[in-house]
Amino acid sequence: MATKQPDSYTSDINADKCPVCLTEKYLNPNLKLLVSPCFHKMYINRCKHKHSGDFTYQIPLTKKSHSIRSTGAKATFEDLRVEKEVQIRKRISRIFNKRLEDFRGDPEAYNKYLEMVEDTTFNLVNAVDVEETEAYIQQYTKDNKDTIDSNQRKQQSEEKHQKTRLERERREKLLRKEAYLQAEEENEKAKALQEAEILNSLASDTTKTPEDIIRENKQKQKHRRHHAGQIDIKLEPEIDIMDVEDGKSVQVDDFDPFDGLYFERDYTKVEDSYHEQFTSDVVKDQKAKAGGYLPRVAYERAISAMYFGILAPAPA
Amino acid sequence: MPSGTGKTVSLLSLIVAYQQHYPEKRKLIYCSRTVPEIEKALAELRRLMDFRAKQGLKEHFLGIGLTSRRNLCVHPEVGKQRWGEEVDSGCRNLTAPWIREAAKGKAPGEVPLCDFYEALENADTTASMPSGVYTLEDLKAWGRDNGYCPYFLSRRMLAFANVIIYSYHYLLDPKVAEMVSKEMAKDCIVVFDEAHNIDNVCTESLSMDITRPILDASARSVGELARKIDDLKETNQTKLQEEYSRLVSGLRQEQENRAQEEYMANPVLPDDILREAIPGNIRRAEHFVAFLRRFIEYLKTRMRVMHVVAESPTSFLQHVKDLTYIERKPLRFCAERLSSLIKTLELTDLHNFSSLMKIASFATLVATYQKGFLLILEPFESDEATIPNPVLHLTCLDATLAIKPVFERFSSVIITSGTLSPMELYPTLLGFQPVVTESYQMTLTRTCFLPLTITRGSDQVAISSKFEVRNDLAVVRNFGNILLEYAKIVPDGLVCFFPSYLYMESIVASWNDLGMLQDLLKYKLIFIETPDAAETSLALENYRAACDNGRGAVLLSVARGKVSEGVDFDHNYGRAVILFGIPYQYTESRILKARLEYLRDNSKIRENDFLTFDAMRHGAQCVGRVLRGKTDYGLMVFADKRFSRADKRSKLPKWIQAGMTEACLNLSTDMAVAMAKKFLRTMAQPFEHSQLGVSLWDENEIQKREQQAKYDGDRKAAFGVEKREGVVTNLTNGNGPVLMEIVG
Repeated sequence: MATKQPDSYTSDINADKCPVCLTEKYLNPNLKLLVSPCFHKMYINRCKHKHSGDFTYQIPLTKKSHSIRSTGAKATFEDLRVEKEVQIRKRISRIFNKRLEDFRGDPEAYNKYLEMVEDTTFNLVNAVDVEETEAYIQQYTKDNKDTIDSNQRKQQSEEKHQKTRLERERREKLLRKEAYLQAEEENEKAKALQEAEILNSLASDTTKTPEDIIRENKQKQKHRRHHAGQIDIKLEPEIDIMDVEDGKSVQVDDFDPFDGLYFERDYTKVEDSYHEQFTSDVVKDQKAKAGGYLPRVAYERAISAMYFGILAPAPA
Repeated sequence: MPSGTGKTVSLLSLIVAYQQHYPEKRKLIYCSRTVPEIEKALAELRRLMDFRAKQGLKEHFLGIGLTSRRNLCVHPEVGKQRWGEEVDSGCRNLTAPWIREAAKGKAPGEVPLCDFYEALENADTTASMPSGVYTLEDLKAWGRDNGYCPYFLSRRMLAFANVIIYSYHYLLDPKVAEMVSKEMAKDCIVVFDEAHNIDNVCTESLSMDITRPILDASARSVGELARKIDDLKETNQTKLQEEYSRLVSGLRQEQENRAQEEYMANPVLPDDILREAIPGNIRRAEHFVAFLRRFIEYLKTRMRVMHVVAESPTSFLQHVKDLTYIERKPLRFCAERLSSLIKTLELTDLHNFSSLMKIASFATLVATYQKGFLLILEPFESDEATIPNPVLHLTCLDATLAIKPVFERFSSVIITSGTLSPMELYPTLLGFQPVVTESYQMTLTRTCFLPLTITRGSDQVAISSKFEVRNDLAVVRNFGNILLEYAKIVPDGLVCFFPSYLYMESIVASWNDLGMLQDLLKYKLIFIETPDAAETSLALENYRAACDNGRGAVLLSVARGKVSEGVDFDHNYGRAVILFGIPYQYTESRILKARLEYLRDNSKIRENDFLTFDAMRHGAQCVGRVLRGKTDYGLMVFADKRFSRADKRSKLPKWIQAGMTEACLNLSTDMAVAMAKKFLRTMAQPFEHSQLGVSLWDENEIQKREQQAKYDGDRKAAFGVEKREGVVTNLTNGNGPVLMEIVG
């Protein structure tokens, strides 16, 4: 059932010439290797033909005509059969995107489905029963419109999720590395510091023998080593609706964290007392009271200073 | 401790005694590293069994070794092939079931078959080998005499043998373990000998490199497959249909086997994969071929990238999906599916398909493991290279993955080596909880080795192979002087180790410019190791010849090369080893960097700790070359300033540390030479041979010891070995891995 592919897919047939202006690759190295809509390789003088209207050219082997505009960019794959297949798959994967969930987790049915998809793709790729296959695809698209759409959405959100996860992993790695390097650096510093300390105490401290000093320091060092090195950093996983609801995004409606409990607050009104440390000592002080100090006055002044912008830094 | 001091035999005698004492006769699987080491272990086992027989034990005992077809094949034509792959494929061409099926209907001789294999197949299954211990040569001879294929015979006898000795790839490498070791019973005792490098073996067995030629070859193989499928479709459609229905029913058979714990788990084929059937989109042969073609083309595209890429399997898979619409799941089944297809197509000449199989197992690995792996694409061989030669490394960073099935499968695992230090690191690296960790001292009648640490030259300039100073003239000259001075005083062979080939080349060139090589040639001949195996073995051969007649020779070699592992310099072949510099790994290697990062993040092992650990174990391996027995003696010279530091020294094996006194820690060249002279003179005195009571016990002393042990209560067993030496060690009946460093 598989038809033999012409060799032209793998070897470029006298294609080192632009089919429109007949410039040769040898003469003009700027020629670009492009892929025609029927998946043949073509060197095309793109710069020249891009702006000057739409030319058509003919593939020598198949005698098919194509316009320059429709000619695709450089091939991704070496084997143009694969290039063609991938193009077809791109289209197919958009339509046949059922998942295991759609079969209520029945792997056998899902595998059957996968095989059917593969057969369809195979037919298109190898040009077997193209018309019937196309008709089938049309029919399928019509029948399964809803699932196709919803699955597409699911897939998109999944991809997004995956991307953020990869990004997070990368960041985590970076952070860990930084932390490690920092810890190493600190270790070095501490070591140098300690050496200096030893020298210092050797020079100045006359009460201890040098042996004592060195022994003491060694013990300190051991202690420090024990503490050094926390290189285990993990980023908090960003709260992901994906994790919770399995792909279905949750609609967040008006949400009140205090559940209606909070009340309006008038910040300009001076209260009798505040929780703050500046005046709390003074209030208890008998002498201040006797001297006529009222914390309320201080509060008033502080609040008015705030609202008048007195304490704000002067504009530069 | 190096071989020759009874490490292997003490382990074997202990386990064999235990095995024969209990009625269940637990099987012993003894894994060593190289074929010569396997041979040595088998010879030791035979001596042990002879001794047991002499003591009046009548046992039915079978001990065999297993190695590749290349070492065991006795077929007149196939056995002559040089490469292992050719022998394997030649053998398969003669022994594959469909070929034998095809030969059945025809006249004998029309389809070539292997007579040895046929004889074995036709023989009664109960027919077995007479009991005894067979070395590899014995096995070949026996097979030849009886007309049986030794390779398949040994594989068949695995089930009946009491002791099996083979390379540890047979347990760790998932591709091989699948074929050989999965039927081993659960209560086997597994011993990993020479296991100081076991973490590297584990990671390497799950790592692979993909190059352009491999991709091209596999693309060709895919074309071949497609052709074969077309042919088969025209001739024998039913066969493909059969395969298809088998795949639909899934890997259930395999799953049942595993559920009964018959087989060891294969890390490449994890348990959960078996619960599922092969996904629908690669069930049909032609679909699978198209699938492979797409994947190979994708890899080719990746190889065209001109900058270094390092990415996790997750992001790789995502990219595969974006570009080629290949999902993760079929990729996971790739290896399984390919082997099924090859079986269905009845392909011979399998070595033509080895690249494709490699790609398939690559696909399976990359799709199976999300953690512990990294993909690194290196487009150029070195930083200076301009011609691209892209290599895609799939590196396993986690040594626990490969060894985990072994720990899960077998109740007793013993990991041992002469240079297994620092031991604390191994449980972390391999991910297990040791039941017993023990380092044993060596008993020596006289101190027959002398470790010396030279930190500075005679001119008091510090010497080091640190990158910043390694090419300083003073350092180069001082290294040269050390060699020269030792060449003057050391009799016979002298072996030097350098950290890398590159450094060795540059330093030897400088010595030549300084005229030092000319001076050296007055005392000894010079031989040098090269990366080429044939050249090196020629150099080794001539080095030995020079040591046997004449004033001896100097061998310049590299710490991670062929010479440093597995080549013995016993007696006059090595009287001194000089280690120039600390043999650190090439730290700019991307794979090493990735591994370090992984260890740091997951096992909390600091980069420098691991590097030092690795360098010191290789250093210990190098200096251990000099001492290959109790009558042997030799010098170990550590020539680097950094060796005198406590953190380096503490990572050396206990038995070397024990020989290091304060006096020989911080020496200059002249002092070290004076000490070496004194040592060599002492050693040259006639050696009175009575080791009795010092490093050798007779029966009385063992009994005395036994009573003592009983008295102590904590010892479980004590016994002597062949009146040669005694070993006291704890015999564990409990489950779980045991970590031992055995010294004599």
